[in-house]
Amino acid sequence: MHRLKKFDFDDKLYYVITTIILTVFFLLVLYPCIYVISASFSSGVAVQSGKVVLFPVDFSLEGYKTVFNTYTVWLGFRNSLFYTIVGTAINVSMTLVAAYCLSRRDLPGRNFIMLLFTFTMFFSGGMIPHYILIQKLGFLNTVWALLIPGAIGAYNLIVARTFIQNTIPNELMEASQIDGCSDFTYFIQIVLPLSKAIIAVLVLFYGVRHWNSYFNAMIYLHDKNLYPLTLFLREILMADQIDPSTVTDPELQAKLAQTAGVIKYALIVISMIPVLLIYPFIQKYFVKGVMIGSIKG
Amino acid sequence: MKKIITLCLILVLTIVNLSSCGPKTANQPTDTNKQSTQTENKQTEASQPADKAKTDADNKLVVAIQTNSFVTDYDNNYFTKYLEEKLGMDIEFYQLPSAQDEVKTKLSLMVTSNDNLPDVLIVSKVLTPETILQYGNSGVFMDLTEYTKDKSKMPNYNAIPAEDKNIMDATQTMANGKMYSLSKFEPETWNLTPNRLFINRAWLEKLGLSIPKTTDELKTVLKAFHEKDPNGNGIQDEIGVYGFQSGGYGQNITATLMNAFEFWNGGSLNGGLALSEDGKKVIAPFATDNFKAGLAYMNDLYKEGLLSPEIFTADGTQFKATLNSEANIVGLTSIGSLSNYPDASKNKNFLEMEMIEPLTGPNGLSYTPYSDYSPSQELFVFSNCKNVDLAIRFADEFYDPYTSIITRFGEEEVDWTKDPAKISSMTNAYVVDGIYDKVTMAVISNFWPEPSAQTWHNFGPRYASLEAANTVANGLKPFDPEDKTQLVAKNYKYYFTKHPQHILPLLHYTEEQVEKIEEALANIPTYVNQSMAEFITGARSIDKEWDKYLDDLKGMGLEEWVNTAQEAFNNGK
Repeated sequence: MHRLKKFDFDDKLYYVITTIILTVFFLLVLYPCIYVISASFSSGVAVQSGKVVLFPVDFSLEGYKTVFNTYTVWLGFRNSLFYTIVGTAINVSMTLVAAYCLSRRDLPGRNFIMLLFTFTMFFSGGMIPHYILIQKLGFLNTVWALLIPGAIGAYNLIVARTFIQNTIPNELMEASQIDGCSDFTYFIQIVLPLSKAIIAVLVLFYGVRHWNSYFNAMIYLHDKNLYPLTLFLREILMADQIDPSTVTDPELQAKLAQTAGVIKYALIVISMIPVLLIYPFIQKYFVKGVMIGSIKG
Repeated sequence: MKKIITLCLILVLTIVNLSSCGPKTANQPTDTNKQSTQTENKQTEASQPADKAKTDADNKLVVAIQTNSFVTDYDNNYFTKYLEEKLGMDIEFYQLPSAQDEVKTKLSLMVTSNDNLPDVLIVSKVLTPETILQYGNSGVFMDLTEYTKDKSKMPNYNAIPAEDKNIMDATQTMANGKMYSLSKFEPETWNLTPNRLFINRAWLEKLGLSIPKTTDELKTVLKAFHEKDPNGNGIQDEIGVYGFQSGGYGQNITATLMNAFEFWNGGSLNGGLALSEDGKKVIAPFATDNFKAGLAYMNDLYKEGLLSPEIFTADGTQFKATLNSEANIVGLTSIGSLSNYPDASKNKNFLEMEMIEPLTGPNGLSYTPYSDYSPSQELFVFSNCKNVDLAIRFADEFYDPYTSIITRFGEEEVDWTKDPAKISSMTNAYVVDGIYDKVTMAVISNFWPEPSAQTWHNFGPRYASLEAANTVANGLKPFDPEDKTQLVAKNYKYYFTKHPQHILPLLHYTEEQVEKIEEALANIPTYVNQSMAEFITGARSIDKEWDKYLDDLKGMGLEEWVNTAQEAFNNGK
């Protein structure tokens, strides 16, 4: 009896402490989001004079108006959607095919191939060889420069392989083979439907990566018509951070920074929307999928 | 099933993506080509040079340009169309990022892989003279010296008045005597003296004080500000002196106040070096006794609580927030741009402030941080450019007087006007003050701070005389002498002449010289700023540790730096 009570107290203490810590972290994460949203609905003057703390001050849609009137934002939005959808489709299909093959115990040289994949997680050629490779492939300034490189992420491959290996019993394959199922049919009709959880996880991982990436686009593209939204966003964000001593006319720069300050929050909100919309639908698979992949690996 | 849907989705999106880029015929077809015939591409690489020659014959230039996020479209752009029509050429863009670091990264990648470089490069203040020299020596950039001297090749450039052209020539000439660039030269007066002092006039009036003229008077005034609660909220929240040290456009008030003791440009050019009184010797103003006296003065203000310690920790956001706090709490500050007070003409805190002349120190010095206007090197021609004559014609066009107006102000009668009927009634601050007779043109649209496809946002070479820059009227808002934000003429009178006669120009070092002083150049300005913070806030005692500070500077290579700067200065004369 006495023991149980003590246990209770420990438990309670544990819950209290965990709740406090988690709440603090939650607020730390939440505050910037709320600030950005509030700032996007406030007047530029209020934002720039630091009056926005939590709620919108001098409610205004000025930022959104400018953003929606700018052609480049829609262009970027469309391009980003394209890169995310097509890129993720390529990523997920390539990863699953590779993961399935590597999960088969009868694949000769399986461990060696896996080692090659793992190697890329820790070592890479560096930026200049990469650039030259892309150039030699003729990918420079084409959409392929953003879609093909990194089509398979080694980490995601490991997660997917482990998932397939551990959740789909070997007996299933033997049984299907007895029924005359080919390897390909087995993959399409049995493995894929059973791997929904991991597909959801891969979609989210790859999708978010595509949506947020800007560096490859910056390095490999030189036509604004191909730029993803993140690059336009970055340019606007940078516009009010430029060191005035590095431009020829700081006064004109200051005027630009003022406009940039008004639209940047609206732009951030717009760029957050797609991920926020998709996340709830995938989230239920999320924890499950990753855990299965990792624990048993 | 799922796969089929995905495939359809891909197909549809690809089509949407390609077709909606329709009007951009210049780039898109080659892309689709590349995608569909990648293997073919490799085999036919040999035939590519022939293709290139053909396009060159078609008068086409590939222009790599540092983009600006406020330009919505480069191909369908008024200025692009104007140039193409006037020169009978085709411009194809190679768009570089807008942030300077990224342009540098991308440029070095392009140069390293050295394949299919564009013809012309237009960037603004991205490349240091040292980098330009390096690219020039290694044959990436073409030597343009001969062209700039040839009146038949560059008529517009050679038509620039000799006095200004000499300044441009001097900027463009690297330490090896060659020119690799064409520059932008648009002298004006407002940006040269960014450290404008603003005092809280409302508080002065309330306390019955007059505007301080000397550093001693300032101290008395600040004391009154601090003690007598002039903002009337019953709290002693008044800050005497406020600014922020790391600010790049006049906000470093320690530099502003220091100039009442010793001329120091605050490190904005040549790391803060200056010239001796006779204009012959390069000196380090931050190692002089006057500088020490300036520090002692600020330390005194700090000890009395009249100088905010936040000067050394604040950033741009905090700075603006403090200037714009509900009740004005700032007594004296130094700013370059009025945009620190958003919507200044209606900003109640700003309307309380008044710009004053630089203060006079105990030795009678009254300077303000100042650097000579130096042109920026903007246009380069890559050595692999096939159609050099066209590139030169293209570059020279930027110096055409009419084109020069377009690059900066946009389309005639849409964004600006020279129509005498319209501008005869207009005026601006300089004209009202009698510095110039009349305005020569007027801006009639607000295109600059709004995203548009009118110009390249003034990237590229340009020449506009000081008079041309100062006789522009604002056609959107008639000049109102009562408007407290119209400070250009006042700034000219108060600040423009407040500097020694001889000013050290931007120095061009050779590669060997750079190697010698690289470390000093990187470390000393930072160390000076850091020591200023420590001396002013009393973390280090000025009396006891000043000699150690000088020793440290010596240890960091100050002497060699000054000597090398002297060499570069003599070399450039």
